[in-house]
Amino acid sequence: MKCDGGVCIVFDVPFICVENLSVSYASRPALEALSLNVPSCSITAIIGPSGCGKSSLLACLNRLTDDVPGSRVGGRIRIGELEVLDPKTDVLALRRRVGMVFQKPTPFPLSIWKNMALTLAQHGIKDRALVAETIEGALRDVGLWHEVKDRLGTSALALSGGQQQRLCIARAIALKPDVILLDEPCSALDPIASGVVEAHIKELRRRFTVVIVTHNLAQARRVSDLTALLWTTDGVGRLVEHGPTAQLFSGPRHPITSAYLEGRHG
Amino acid sequence: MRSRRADAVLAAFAWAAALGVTVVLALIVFELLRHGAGRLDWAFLTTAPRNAGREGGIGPILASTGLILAVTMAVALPLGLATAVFLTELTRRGGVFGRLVQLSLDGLAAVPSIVFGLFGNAFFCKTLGLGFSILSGGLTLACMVLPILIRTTEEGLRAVPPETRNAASALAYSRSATLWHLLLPAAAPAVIVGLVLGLGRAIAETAALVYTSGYVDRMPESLMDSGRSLSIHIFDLSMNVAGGDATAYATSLTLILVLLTINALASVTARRVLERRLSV
Repeated sequence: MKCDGGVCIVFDVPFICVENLSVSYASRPALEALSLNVPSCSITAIIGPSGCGKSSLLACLNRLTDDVPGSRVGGRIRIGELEVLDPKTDVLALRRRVGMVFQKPTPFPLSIWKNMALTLAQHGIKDRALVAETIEGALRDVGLWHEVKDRLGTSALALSGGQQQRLCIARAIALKPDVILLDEPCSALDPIASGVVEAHIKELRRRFTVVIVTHNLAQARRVSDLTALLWTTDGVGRLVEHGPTAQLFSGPRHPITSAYLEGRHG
Repeated sequence: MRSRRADAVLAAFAWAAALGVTVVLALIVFELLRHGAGRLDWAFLTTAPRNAGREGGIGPILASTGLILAVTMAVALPLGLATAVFLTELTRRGGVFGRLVQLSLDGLAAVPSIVFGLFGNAFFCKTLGLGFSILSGGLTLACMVLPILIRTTEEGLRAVPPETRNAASALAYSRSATLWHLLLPAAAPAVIVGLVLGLGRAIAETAALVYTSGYVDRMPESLMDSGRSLSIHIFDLSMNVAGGDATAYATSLTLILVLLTINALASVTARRVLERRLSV
């Protein structure tokens, strides 16, 4: 289901269904037997120590794992009615529906405008009026419009780190995806820029299903509706606990979770 | 104290070396100007040589040189770009076929130009029946220039941060769009450097051209005509023509000017490319 406008979290209607997911790189398992449901128009935080497979999980959701030589993905992922891991699935169509923002801001070495317009053109959006409207809308959504509207023709690389990251979010949401994947989007930013980005991430929930990987427990607590903790056991990442964020933080059921949240682990 | 003296010696040596290099270039230019500047004028650049090159100009030779270089670049640029793209984007580093291509490139780069000349003569002139022609010469030089062009382009493409590819992939850019809009523009300055280096090597070439484009000094009427390049003209004047020294110097001066022009054009183009990418 898709939401328009108002916040509507229906926890029992999963939008993303991950069943028994396993990932390995060059026959070394990274993630095993992971099942996770993500409801529509919510923010799910994936937390856990480094190397526990958080980013691998994200990369499966838009099949970025296809680009990694030697990677193998097993199990089943559905996003809406789309079978993500089915080899017959059109990967470009999938990635249009599932946007992604990386840890390090990744603006292309082009002007701010071209960063947006080239991406839209890739998806056949070339009508001048529509392009202009979409770009302005997306830049407003991330609070960047009034900061850059007079210098859209200048290099995106001249923006500050926080602005670059918001441009990347704008570039992703301009394609009107259903899902936005955020891979530690604030960890390369200073606290103030990080706060600004975080505020806009919270807003995204109104229109998108958001999955965010973060190292920052406080951030997970602030922005997310649901939290999933991944943990490495026997050298393989597994899901330890998953539930509403408030519940998980106030009353973790699993001993690893409580130890991790108290800072005794990881 | 000892280390301070070592520093001083090192600095003095570095200064002297740098000064020496500058002096060598200055001497060359000075000699060329002293002997050649007197003959260098518009008529020299546009008229045909007379009396085996002792009199007249180098018009047809400039034209042949331009045509040979044009053939070289028209062939080497697409082939070089495509090979570099293949090596960086389509094969995994260390794959068997990729390594084979790399190995043949290294081999190609180490082949002396006289061997290219003999090969060009055997293959392009005789086997393909192109005869002594500008086309044969241009194709031979293309083989020579390819390794340089491919290597610099490859470096340029590999220097594009992996994040750019990931981001493009995540935004559902097709492979060709990523290449065309993001990777090749980013590699353009490197490609231009490769072109300049390649053109520099090609324009300086005599050995590879003697056997392929020949040394007819008439104005070429087509690519199938034989044509004499600037460096062959210089060689011929100074070795075979008594009293041809003045023209040889003037021709050398022209050659240097052509090279400088190519360099200048290349850096202007590189800047243009960067500016165009930023426009709205």
